[in-house]
Amino acid sequence: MTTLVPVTYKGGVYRHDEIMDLIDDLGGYIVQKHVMAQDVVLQSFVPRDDIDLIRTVVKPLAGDVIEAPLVGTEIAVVSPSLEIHHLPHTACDIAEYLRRSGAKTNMIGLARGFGKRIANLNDEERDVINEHDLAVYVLGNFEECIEHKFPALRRGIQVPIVVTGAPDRETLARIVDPPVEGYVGGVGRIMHRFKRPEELAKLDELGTRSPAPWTPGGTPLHGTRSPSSRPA
Amino acid sequence: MPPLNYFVVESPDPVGREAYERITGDVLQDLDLIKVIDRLHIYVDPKVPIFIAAGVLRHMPRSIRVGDFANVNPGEKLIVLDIGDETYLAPLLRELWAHYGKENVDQPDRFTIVLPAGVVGEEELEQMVVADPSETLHKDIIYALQYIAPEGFKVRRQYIKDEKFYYVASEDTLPGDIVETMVVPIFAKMGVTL
Repeated sequence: MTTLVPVTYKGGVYRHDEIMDLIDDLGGYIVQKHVMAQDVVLQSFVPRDDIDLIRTVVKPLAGDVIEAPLVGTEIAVVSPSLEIHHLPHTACDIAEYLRRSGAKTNMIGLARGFGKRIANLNDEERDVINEHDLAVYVLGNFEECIEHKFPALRRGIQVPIVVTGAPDRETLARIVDPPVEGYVGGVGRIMHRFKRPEELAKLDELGTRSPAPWTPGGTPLHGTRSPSSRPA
Repeated sequence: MPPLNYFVVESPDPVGREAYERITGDVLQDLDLIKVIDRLHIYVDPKVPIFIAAGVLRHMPRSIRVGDFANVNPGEKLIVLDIGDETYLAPLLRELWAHYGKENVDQPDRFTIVLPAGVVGEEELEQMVVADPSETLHKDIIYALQYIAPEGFKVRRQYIKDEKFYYVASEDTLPGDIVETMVVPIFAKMGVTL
C-alpha cells in the first residue's frame, strides 16, 4: 500500500508546473499552492517511496522538499484580545512556526478574552474556532488567571486544543480541567520576538505538541481524518 | 535588565514575577524610558487581583525656551530670529502668532523669523516658553505602565507629579484607601515618601 506523507515544496516559479505534474503522476496531490512573486510553495501529499525521486527532479531547479507534518490542517491561534498586550509577538511567532510546518493558520483575537473574572467567548468566536482542525490558545503568565479564565474560553469548543502559557507544562496540565490535547509551558506574554534558543525550543515543542490529524506514518491520531478523507 | 538604580518586581507567583520582570524590561527599552526612570517597584497579585507600579523619575526635562534653539538678533527696525534647530519651530510659530498676530510674524525662509522691533524685548523673547517635554513624558510613562499591566486590569488609578508616579490597576473596583494601604508602603520600600 502506498503511504502518503505531507511535504512542502519550496522553489521558483520557473517549471514548477512540472513538479505539480510529477506529484500528480506519482499519485500524490497538492493541498495548497502559494505563488509569492518569484517563489512557489506547494503543500502536498506525496508517496513516501517517491520523495527521493522528487528531490532528484527538483535539484536542478534549486527547489527544496521539506517534511511538513501539519500540511492540510487549519489551525486557529487564539489570542485573548487584539491589544498590544497579547499581539503581535507571541501569537504571530506561534502562527508563523505552525505555518512552517505546513499548517494554514488563522489568528483569532477574542473580543473579551482578557481578565481573570471577565474573560468570555461569544458564540461567533466559538463557531469560528470550531471550524478549524485545532485551536492553539495563547494565554498569559499567571497560573491563577489561566485556571479561572480557561473554562470560559473553551466553552463549546469541540476541536482539539493546545494551551500555551508561562507556567510549566505540568502546572498547565494540572490546572486545566477537563484535560486538553496538548500543553506548552514557558511561553506566556512576551514583549519581544522569540529569538533566544530556549524560546525557539518552545516553538519547536509546540510543533510537536500540536496533534496532526494524522501522522506521517499514516496513523490517524484522533481518528477524525485520514488522507483518504481529505479533499484533493 | 535596565540600569535602573532600583528595580523590583514582587509577586506571590514566581513564574509570573519573572515574566513581569522581562515584560517591564522590554517595554521600557522599547519606549526608551530606561534613562528617564530612576527607581521602579512593581507588585502584582492575580489572586486579589491588583497591579501596582510605583517609581521615581531620574529628572524631569525642563521647559524649552526660544533662547535654547534660536538666536535673537534685535535690529533698529526688526528683530531677527535665527533658528538653530527646527524641532520646535512649529510650536514657536504658534506662540508668536498667538502673542503678536500673524501680520507681525514673517518667515522669509525656513531658518529665519522676523518680527517688527518694539513688539517684544530681546530678553522676553529669549525666555518665552515654547514647549514642555515633561507633558509627553508623563503620557509615555502612563502608557508604558498600561502596557506592562495585565490587560484585564481595566480599573485604574494613576498619579504623576514632580518626580514620583504610581499606577494602580485591578479587574475589580479599587478600594478608596488603596493608595494609603498599598502604594505608600511600596514607596517606603524605595526610601521615598509619597
